[in-house]
Amino acid sequence: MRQLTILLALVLGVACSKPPRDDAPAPGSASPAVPAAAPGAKDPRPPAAATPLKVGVTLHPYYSWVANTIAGVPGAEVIPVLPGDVDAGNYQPSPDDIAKLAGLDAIVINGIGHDDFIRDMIKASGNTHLAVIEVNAQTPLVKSAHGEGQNSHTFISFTNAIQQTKLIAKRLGELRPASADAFATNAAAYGDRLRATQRAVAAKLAGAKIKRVVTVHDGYTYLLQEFGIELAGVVQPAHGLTPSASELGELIELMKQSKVTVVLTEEDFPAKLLATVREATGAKVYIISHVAVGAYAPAEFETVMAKNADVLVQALVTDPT
Amino acid sequence: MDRIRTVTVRSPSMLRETGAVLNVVVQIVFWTAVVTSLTWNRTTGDAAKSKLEIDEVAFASLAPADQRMFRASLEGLGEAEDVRSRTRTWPTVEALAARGIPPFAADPLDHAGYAWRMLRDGTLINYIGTPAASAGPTFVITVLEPDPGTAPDPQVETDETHHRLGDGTMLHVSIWTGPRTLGVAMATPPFEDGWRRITMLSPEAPRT
Repeated sequence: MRQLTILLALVLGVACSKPPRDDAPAPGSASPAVPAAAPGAKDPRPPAAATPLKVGVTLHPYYSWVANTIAGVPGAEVIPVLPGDVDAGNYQPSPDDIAKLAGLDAIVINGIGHDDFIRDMIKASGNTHLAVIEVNAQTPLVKSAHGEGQNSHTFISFTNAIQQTKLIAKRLGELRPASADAFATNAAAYGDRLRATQRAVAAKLAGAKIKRVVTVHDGYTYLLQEFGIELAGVVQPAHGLTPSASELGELIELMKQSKVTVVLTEEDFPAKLLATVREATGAKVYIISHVAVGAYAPAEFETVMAKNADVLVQALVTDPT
Repeated sequence: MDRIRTVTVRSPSMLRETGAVLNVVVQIVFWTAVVTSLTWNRTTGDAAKSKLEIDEVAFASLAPADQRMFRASLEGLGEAEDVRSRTRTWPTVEALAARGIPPFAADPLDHAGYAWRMLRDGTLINYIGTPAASAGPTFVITVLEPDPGTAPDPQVETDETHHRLGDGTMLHVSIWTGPRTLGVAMATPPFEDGWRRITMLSPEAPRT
């Protein structure tokens, strides 16, 4: 079905989209493609520093990271490809979204399973100059809770956010060397802020009474590991899937045996299933977020992650006392 | 004048025709099995070969606490590289710790009590993290700079063991885990003493 949608979008989207920008730099090029003006001629072009740099993103966290990296740099702009209210896990490409890709110079993608739709969309857009920045290219990946696959939720993490923002800054600097220092400085400042939050939360969690939890969604392994919290189990058998009765029964048994008393869930998980877990185990349920939907904003990642951290402190330190 | 030759063409009997068809089927099944078997062996052989060298250990197979330390070490290495790019000098452990850079900064969640120090021998730099009282493995971040005057090779791509500085200098980097601390700086701690380079497996597995 997705293939058909993309095929349809190819026809409609390309027909409606603008052609690729002639001045877009090629992937990995050392400088923006601004040709030299003829001697003595009046150059109508903007100075190199103001050359447009349009950076697309597939996921909400990447929007925040790019927005903070390019902040204050003339001509640089971040453009979300997906509508804000759509989780990438449930996304179907649309012609309008494919049209957005046609005008981009670069796009930041997960590249390890969280946004597989984007590669077909890029092909469909006809943008052959697009620099694809795969943020997980240098990220160590942990296994998923179920199966042998690797966990693609690397973005729900302070450590990964710091390093991946730095990688984005580096790649954007290669595309626009004139702004490379500004990108690096911005990324470093953003990383320092994230690190300060992480350090403050770690100090609070050092005295945690509870150090083992169950999560509904398999998206928090990286975050929990950073804070030394053990993930005892994951409720969903796979992204977005509701567990069967037997799977839920196995998890409840695991929670009883391991004496797990905290479940971290998300707002959209069925309340009845949670009630079953709560009644069977006596566990307390707390809501956290994997920064997947909502209005795109530069501060979104920091805000949501700070809330997540507060929830962890409440669940593991404050409430058990 | 050519002689006229008469040839009688007869359909094979039911038995012979069935036999011929069966023969073809057997040939197809046999050769398909042979080719599939060879392909399978070659594929699994390549996969096994590409996974790990004898002195490597996969990040994904480490204990969570060691994964955490490896991730922190990568972060620290990146910050040290930034300082090296800006100042042409490798930062001390104390300087990185003062900025709150993991794993060098005090960590309230570090139950093993890691202490970090820096060793240097010419173009070789080691950051060595040793736990208190054998509470965990030692971690060593190694950086090998090219000899002075070596021109950067723009063709070499960056990966987990090749990092490029801002000025184009290509470093050889690695992170090791082993049973005890090092007394001298080393680019490759000895395998026979239990040292293993931590490697990140390529992200090929499907999302779950």
